[in-house]
Amino acid sequence: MPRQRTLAMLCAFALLALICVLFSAALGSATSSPGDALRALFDGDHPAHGVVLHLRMPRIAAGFTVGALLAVAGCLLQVLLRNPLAEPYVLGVSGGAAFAAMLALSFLADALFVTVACAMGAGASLCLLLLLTHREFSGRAPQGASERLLLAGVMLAALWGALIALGLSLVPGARLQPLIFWLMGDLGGASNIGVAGLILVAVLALALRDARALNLLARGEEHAFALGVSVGALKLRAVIFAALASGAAVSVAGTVGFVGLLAPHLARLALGNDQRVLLPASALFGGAFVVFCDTLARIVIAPQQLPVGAVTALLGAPLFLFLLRRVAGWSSN
Amino acid sequence: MVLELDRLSLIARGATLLSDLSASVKAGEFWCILGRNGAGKTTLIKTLAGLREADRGDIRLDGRRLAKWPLIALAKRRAYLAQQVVDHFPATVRDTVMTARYPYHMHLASGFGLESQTDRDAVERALGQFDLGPLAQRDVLTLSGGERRRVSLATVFAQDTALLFLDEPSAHLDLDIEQRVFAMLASEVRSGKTVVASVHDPNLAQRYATHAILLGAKNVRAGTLDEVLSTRNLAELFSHPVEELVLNGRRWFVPGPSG
Repeated sequence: MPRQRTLAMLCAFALLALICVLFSAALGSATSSPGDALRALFDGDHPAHGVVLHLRMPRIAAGFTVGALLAVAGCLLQVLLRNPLAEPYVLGVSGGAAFAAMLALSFLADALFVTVACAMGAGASLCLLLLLTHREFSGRAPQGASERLLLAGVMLAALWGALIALGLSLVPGARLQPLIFWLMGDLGGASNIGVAGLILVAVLALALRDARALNLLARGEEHAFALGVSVGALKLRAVIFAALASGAAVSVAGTVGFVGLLAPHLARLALGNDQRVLLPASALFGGAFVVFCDTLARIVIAPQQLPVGAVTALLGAPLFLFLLRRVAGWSSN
Repeated sequence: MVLELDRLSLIARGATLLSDLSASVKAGEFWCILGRNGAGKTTLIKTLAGLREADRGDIRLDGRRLAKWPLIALAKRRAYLAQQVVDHFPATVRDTVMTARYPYHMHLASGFGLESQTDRDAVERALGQFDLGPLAQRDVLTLSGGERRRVSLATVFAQDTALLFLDEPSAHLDLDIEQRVFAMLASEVRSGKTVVASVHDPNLAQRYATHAILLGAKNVRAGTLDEVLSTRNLAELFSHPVEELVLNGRRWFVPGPSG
């Protein structure tokens, strides 16, 4: 793809993200327009100052971070597993996080405690996965069977899913609703955004350093190895980056669905499969998309709020199907 | 001396495919590997190219054990053509060929090493060599088997290495392209490169190669064409009578009547 067009598309993605953020900041009962919201943000005397600065902006930041993290994780896993169906939850790492968070939520609802439990659950699940599949990452020559990694991950995810279902059936009714919101993905109680933001920047930067090697990995392990890529080490890095990103996203907002699958595909349809542009473009789109969906979740049946995860899939699936039909087959040309 | 095989043994799934093969492959030599399905042609080529480790014995490239080579340095020294390629994501033919230039712009620590003019020239030259100019913007997912094979060959050529390891380079190719590819390989070899390729047709080896390895179930023969490629050895290799024809001064091997 010509470089100018790539840059223009990246700018368009950034602009889209900015527009989503502005509208999300503006929409709601306290302000009337994006301009009004901007004034409210910077003018301490504006009646909506507190609402925009302390309620909407953190929620927008959380939504954007979560979307971008999931999109980057999805991108990495689709390349690593060379499977277009791969998404952040496929390796079971976020399932481990979700199970731990569910335990924490059903005993103690403290936000920090839930975050720590999430991190521990994700870490434990990642260790288990690496223990089961360590042969995929060892040795100098490519092992060539990413299916084993995928299947081990899917089985772990199924196991965590079963444990979560078991837990849900045992939790007393009064505690059930926040749990269900959390499992669907909800930004209402988002906290500890700073750490997630740092993880996003770190993972994106590190993944971009590997972007060209990942481009080769997308074409097959032997191809990448023959061209000088140390495939085992690269795969291990990709798994760890994806686990970090999806674990961080889950710890902020629970298991928001569909973004991690939709954002990389949409960016790929627009920009091709060069990870150097695909990773930042997916992050921008994923962030913008979650912010947009969460705005809808806030206002559609206000004052009642919906979990954002319900909106992402509801909007994302038709959008993706529409684009798939518009763009002939799979091709980007 | 380019590549030195020292008592090389290959074992796959418990079966010994090759034991104690010693040979020296020099610059300006074209080695063809012949053998029945499952005899270990692919395993041998992968092992020689450093994609899998030797089960016993040693392979030295430029005097240095293959396993000791840094991967990037190795990628500038030898290229490898896999028997088949499965594409998982859309990409243009030109971008696919450009992947071969990866080892040449690693001097930038970032992943953003941009392609240089040398890289672009190498890619355009390789596209031209395989008549891929008109297909350069096509998506690889839309190509026919033979077209995709030409893209793979162009990718190997764009890597611009002195050693080429090719697993069935003639697979899927039309008759004219097959002959042109082998003529191109032979001319690369005359200019000092080294080619190791597996083939099914002994006549391709007879016409273009300088050396051959016959991977038989009982014994393995390696040497110059004159030493190795004979009707007797081929008949033993394929368990089928092979006859020899001379047409316009050139030898041709044809299958004889069975039994």
